[in-house]
Amino acid sequence: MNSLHTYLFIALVLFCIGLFGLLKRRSLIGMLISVELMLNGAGLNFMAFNRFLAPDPAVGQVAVLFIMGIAAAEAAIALSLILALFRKIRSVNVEQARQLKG
Amino acid sequence: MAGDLLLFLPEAACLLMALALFGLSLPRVQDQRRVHSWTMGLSLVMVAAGLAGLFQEGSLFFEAYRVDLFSQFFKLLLAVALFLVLSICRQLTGVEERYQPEFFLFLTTCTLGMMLMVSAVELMTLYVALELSSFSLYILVPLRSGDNIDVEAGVKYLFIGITASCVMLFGMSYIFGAVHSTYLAKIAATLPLWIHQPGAVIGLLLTLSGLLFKLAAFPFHFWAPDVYQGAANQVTTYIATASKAAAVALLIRLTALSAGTSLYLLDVLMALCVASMTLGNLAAMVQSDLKRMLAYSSVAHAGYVLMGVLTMTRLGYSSAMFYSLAYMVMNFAAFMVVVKVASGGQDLKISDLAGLHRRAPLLALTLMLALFSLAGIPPTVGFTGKFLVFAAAMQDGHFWLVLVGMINATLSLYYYLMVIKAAYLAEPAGPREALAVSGPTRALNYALIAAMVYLGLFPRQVLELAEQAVRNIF
Amino acid sequence: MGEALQQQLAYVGYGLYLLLIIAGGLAAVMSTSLVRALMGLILTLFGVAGMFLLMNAPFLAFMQILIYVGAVSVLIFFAIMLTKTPEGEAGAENMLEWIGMRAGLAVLAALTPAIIMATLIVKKAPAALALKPEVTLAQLGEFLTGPFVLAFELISVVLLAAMAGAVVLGFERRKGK
Repeated sequence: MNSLHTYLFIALVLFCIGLFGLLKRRSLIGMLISVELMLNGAGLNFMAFNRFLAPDPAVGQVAVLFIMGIAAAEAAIALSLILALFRKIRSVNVEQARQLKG
Repeated sequence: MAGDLLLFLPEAACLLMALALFGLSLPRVQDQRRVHSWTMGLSLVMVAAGLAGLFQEGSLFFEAYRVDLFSQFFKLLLAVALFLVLSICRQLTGVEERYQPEFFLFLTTCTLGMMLMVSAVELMTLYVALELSSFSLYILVPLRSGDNIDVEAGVKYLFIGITASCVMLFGMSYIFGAVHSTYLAKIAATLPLWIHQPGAVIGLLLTLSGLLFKLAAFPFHFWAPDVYQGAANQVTTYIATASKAAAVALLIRLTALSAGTSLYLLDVLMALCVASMTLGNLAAMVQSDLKRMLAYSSVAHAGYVLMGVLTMTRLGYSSAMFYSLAYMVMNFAAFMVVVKVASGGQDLKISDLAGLHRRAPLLALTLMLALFSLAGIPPTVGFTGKFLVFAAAMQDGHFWLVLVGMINATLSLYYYLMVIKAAYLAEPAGPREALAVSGPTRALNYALIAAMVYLGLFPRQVLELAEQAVRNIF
Repeated sequence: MGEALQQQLAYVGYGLYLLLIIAGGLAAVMSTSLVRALMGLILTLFGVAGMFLLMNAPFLAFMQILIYVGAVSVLIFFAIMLTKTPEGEAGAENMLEWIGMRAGLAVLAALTPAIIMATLIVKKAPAALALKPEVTLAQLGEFLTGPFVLAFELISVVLLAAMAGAVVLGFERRKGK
């Protein structure tokens, strides 16, 4: 397959599925899974632009590597925070955590 | 080589401080006093490094890192903000004792991230630096001791933050697609190529969303009230001062890329500016918790700063820079009073301020000046800042925007005056003992009062510095 | 192998990976069980790795599987297991919610960028250049230690902060005080 459009579409679909999940999910872990989808969409975009347009074919790949590194750190922090919350209210659902107002 | 090190001096000092704190956090038992004195000493070194590096110029790391007056101005601001925040951390009642070295460590890594962020002129470097500062804050917010809403607030902050950063990355990928480079200089050089491609402009807008999150501007402001209330008072102080300044710096750098030629960008920023101001001010009126009120007021102030930024002229940018300095000083003064009055590290209701003028006259005076300044009453620095921003917007022909801003400033007077009324006129329900104000705190108060009035009356020097700095990027 | 056959195979691979991504993505956001959602995520991650392969970036595909599937997914799996309550799987969601406001808003919010960006892609995306040769590992390394060296070094500080933070937050906290 050799067309930029097709890859951009998949990236967009992934991003939007992730955004949808992020807003729809009530479980924090479910939200985290959705965020990973969005990050993958962004990574795919970088790679596609890099593959078909950029004069220097390594820049986009390096960007994708950075995204992966950041995503791993992000997941670690998110999960330790989710566990801390779970210990406190015995639940990981957003609704139970609504002591917060707006 | 030695010259390069001089360019990197403030960051190197910050990195060393982080390493030293990491070492300090390792032993099982620590002497809190000693840790705090060490931290203060190191951060003083950092302020000195920031001063020494103020007029440096050059670029490092294969042009990915630009050191100029603009970046150094903000670095000095950040170093001073860190020093000020640390200076009110002597009795860290809001944070569990055994986490205190880590608490200082994360404050330092956050500052490091922001320092690198204001100098980064390459998108990936900028993104990684931004994430470093965000991650440190995600950890700092839930560190509060006791049974508060800190963990919930931390989770909320984290999820809104990572959503904003995903959107930012997605936007960056479109910029990369249009320009084929991640260097800001390259992006600015190929402006005519991409400014008429909607994809690239949308990409730039999405990229800005990560900064709007830091600034707590309209679509990404939901975290502000909960995080301000939930986090320990000192952390809130840091988020409300340093983190805002860095966000303004990046907003200026990124919007300067479009050189004011994109009408889409202008329209969207204008809408966000109006929404932030109005929403923040209206919501602030009904708050009873002082920190929540200040949170909504910070949303409104994000709107005022945006007004300076969106003009995309030199005057607008330098006024936005001045405003971020003014905002840092006055907001720090207000939060310092919160930290001192809530000596047990608890949240502070506005009604808890009753009788403050008798319990601690000096704190009450500082609070009053800070709130006057936030409301924009002369002769304080807040008035001068607002005046400059409004004047810049007026000169650029945004009459309606300025009008909305004026109406908002008047509205905001109401809730600031309510707090002053509580502090000066309301009588406490029961007798309350006077608050002890130590010598250093007294000195800090005098310095803040002097700064607020002096900068309000004689803004010229700072403003000239800001104008000179803006010339470097625009 | 002939040129034509290779082209055919690429089409087949593309279709397969596309299927993996979309099916996995939908499973990840719709499934009521979090374990199934995680499985969906893993499918998607494999699909994206496949797309990297098709775009001539085998190293990235490898890293994708190593980091995402090997580390991030395992982390999420741990979290699901650790937050299990006696009543059942943590955070399980019921199907009824589908008709609610929340889902409606979510669909709306996700469709807006989809429509805007999709039209842009169709109308404005520039034509692709000719295929470029594969990027060697050495070239990638040169970039990481060249223009991106600051970001590369900074990632280590980010990871240090993240690890220290995870340890601090992970400790059982004393109640009250």
